[in-house]
Amino acid sequence: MSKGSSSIADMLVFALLAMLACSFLTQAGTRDDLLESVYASSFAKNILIAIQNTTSKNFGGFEYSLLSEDLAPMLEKSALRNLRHKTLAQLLIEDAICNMHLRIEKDEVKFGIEQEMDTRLKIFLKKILDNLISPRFGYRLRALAGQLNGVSVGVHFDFEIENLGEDQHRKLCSESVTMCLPLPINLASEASDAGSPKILIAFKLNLELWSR
Amino acid sequence: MKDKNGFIPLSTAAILLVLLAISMVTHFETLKSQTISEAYEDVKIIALLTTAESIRNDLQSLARLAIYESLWSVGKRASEYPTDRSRENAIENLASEKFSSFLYSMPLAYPTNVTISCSGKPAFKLLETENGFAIAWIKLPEDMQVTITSTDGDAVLLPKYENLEIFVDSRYFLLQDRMRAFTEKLEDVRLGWAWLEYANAYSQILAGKSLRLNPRISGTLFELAWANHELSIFGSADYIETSRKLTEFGRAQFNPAESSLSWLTMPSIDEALAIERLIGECAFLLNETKANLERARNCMTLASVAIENFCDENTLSDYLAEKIDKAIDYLTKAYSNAKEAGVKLTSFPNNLNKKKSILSPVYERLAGARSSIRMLNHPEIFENVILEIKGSLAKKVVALKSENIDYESNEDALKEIDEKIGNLFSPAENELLQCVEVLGGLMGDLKKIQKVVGGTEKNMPSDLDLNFLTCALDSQRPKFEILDREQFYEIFPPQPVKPHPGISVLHELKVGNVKYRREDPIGILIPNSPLPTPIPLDAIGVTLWWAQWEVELSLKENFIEQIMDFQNPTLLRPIYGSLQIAHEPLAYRWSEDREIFKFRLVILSPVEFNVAQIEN
Repeated sequence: MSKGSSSIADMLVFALLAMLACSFLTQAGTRDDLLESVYASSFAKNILIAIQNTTSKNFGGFEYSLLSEDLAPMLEKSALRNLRHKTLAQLLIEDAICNMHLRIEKDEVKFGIEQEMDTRLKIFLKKILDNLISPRFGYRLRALAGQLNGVSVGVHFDFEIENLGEDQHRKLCSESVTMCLPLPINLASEASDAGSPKILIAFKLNLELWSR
Repeated sequence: MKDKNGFIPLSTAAILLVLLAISMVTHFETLKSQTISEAYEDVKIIALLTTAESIRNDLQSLARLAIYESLWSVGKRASEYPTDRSRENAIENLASEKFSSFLYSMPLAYPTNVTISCSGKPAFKLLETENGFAIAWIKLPEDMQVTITSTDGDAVLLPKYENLEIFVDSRYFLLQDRMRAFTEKLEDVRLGWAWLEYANAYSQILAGKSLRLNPRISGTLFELAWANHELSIFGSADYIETSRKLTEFGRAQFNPAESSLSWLTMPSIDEALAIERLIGECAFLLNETKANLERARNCMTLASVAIENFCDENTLSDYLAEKIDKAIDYLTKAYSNAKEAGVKLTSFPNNLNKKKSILSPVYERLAGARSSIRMLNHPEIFENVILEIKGSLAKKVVALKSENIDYESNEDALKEIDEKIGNLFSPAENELLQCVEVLGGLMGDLKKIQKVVGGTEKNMPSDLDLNFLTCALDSQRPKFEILDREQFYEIFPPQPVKPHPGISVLHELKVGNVKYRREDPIGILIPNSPLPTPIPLDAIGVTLWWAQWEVELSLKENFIEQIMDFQNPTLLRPIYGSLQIAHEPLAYRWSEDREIFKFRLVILSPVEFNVAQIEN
């Protein structure tokens, strides 16, 4: 082999191996999605704790009206419900109690007299979560009433708010907390049965975070 | 060196580079792996802590619901407990019972990685905090054990919950304090009622009427005293019920114009309409007065200008006579309009002027408007000036119709009359304008009042607004049934009169018999005597007339007084026993069997009066 051709082969081998080394380093330097998910998961848990501990007063207070405005203007102030001392989780639980549907065989029982709390709460929570989460992640918050074990009663309550952005992104995490929700029938019961066991159902608060 | 080569071949250098890269990547990966592993551990621990915190919040939430239920149960039966402490004990015990039942059911609701075991009873302590709100301290059972296992089963957390502190967003202690003050000072109702009865009796004597005692009036005055007591303690009263009773009573029993209670009644739509019509008529008449004065003045100006410009004396005298005739005509009309407006404003029914009702400010402003116009207060001055002008003008007309006319002297005389009309017109114009403005403002206020009164009457028929509301609600919710007043107020508490402390009030008060036992000598000797007992005071040559009664009012049944925390409608409650749930304010209900209220009515008057037969 001539000297010239040997040098060229040497350079080629050098170039090839240098590229290989670079590719190793590039691979090692890429952002790890797993780590982002772990961070998101921790973030989501903190948000769920905040929802359970922060009162609505910290976000300007929550209120709704028991009646639509056109129904009885003279009762406008009497129908106003200001719930500024309640935590966000409490509001969600009470919204569930007020707007839950129970299916007992073919009959459906609806609790609560007005849907306005549900609508207003969605707007109120969306505003808060948009401020807290949206700059970093897309989110979907769901509140679901669980099923009753061993009883032929269907419970229906589904609360969902989301802000995932315009494009479809990758789901980073899905974190949940479970709370107890007394069945509204408990509240309608008389004082005499105070000591009897109450029916509690699981109330699951689930927060999904999505990459932006 | 035999050749121009480097230190090492390029391929060797490349191999070294690759080895270096591999070692770096290996290092990075090891580091990353460690970080992820640590993060996972962290997340696992955070998950356990989050669950533990969530259980704590859940316990608080359930304890709060238990407190809500207990506050409601005890608050609605508040008068059954002898002391505040016993009432608070009852709340604590009931809350403990309810919370226990929640605790026993909790494990079923949680996922399998959480176990909760507990057999003891929690202890509640209710304490007052600022603004009358409550704080509950809860000591959880010592044997309560919670185990939280991580999803992979590697980590277990055994959180220990000992004490919980809950802020209860209902002003239970405020309601308790105010109700205690109300019931302890019920004597004030008796004093207030006595004061009203005295005022009623003396107003009749001073008006020269027979002293007429009427159980219905006494009952109504008692209700008023009750409402006044509510207002002073709670900052509000059951004003809807009180005004409804007053209105019903006034309409059914008396002609409001003659009733001694008419000054306390709410206005009817008819009354507001009548006043509106009257104001409209007065405003029209005053505007006409102003316009006629203006027209008269214009006629005189035209007449005085004509003397300088007319050449033909015959035509001039006709022209002047015509203008002066018209001026006289306008002045007559102005006078008659102003007089009529004055009569209308003066003829405002005296009893309306004294009314203490929603229309009182309107009456006061009407009286003010009337007093601001001199020509209405002193019509004689106005009349004299008009007559004087008319007299002068009439003389001129006569003179103009005679043959020897001195136009120059006439011009001066006409200018003088023009000036006089001007002098009359200028101040009157301002006053009239002012009065018309006031009347216009009053008209606007009346419209508003009519809207309120009309709306109230329309929306709140005599059987209160339950039918109206039920119909309205029925259109949305077919399961709504008839509410009674108490249930209705629990959902829609009436807005308090004063914003502080913000308490709504409801009462059920049924006045039974009112007995008047005559106690002055003539009354004792001759029952139903129309004469009071005379007390001659010879030394000063005066006779005092004395009548005395013991007035006793009994309630048909226990009175019910209920107050509600209007500002905090935070308790989840079923609506009137149905399965439907809504947020309602905490109610504190007091029922007491105080039956008899009595006082002594002593009338002493230097003016002789008659005692009318007591009506029933």
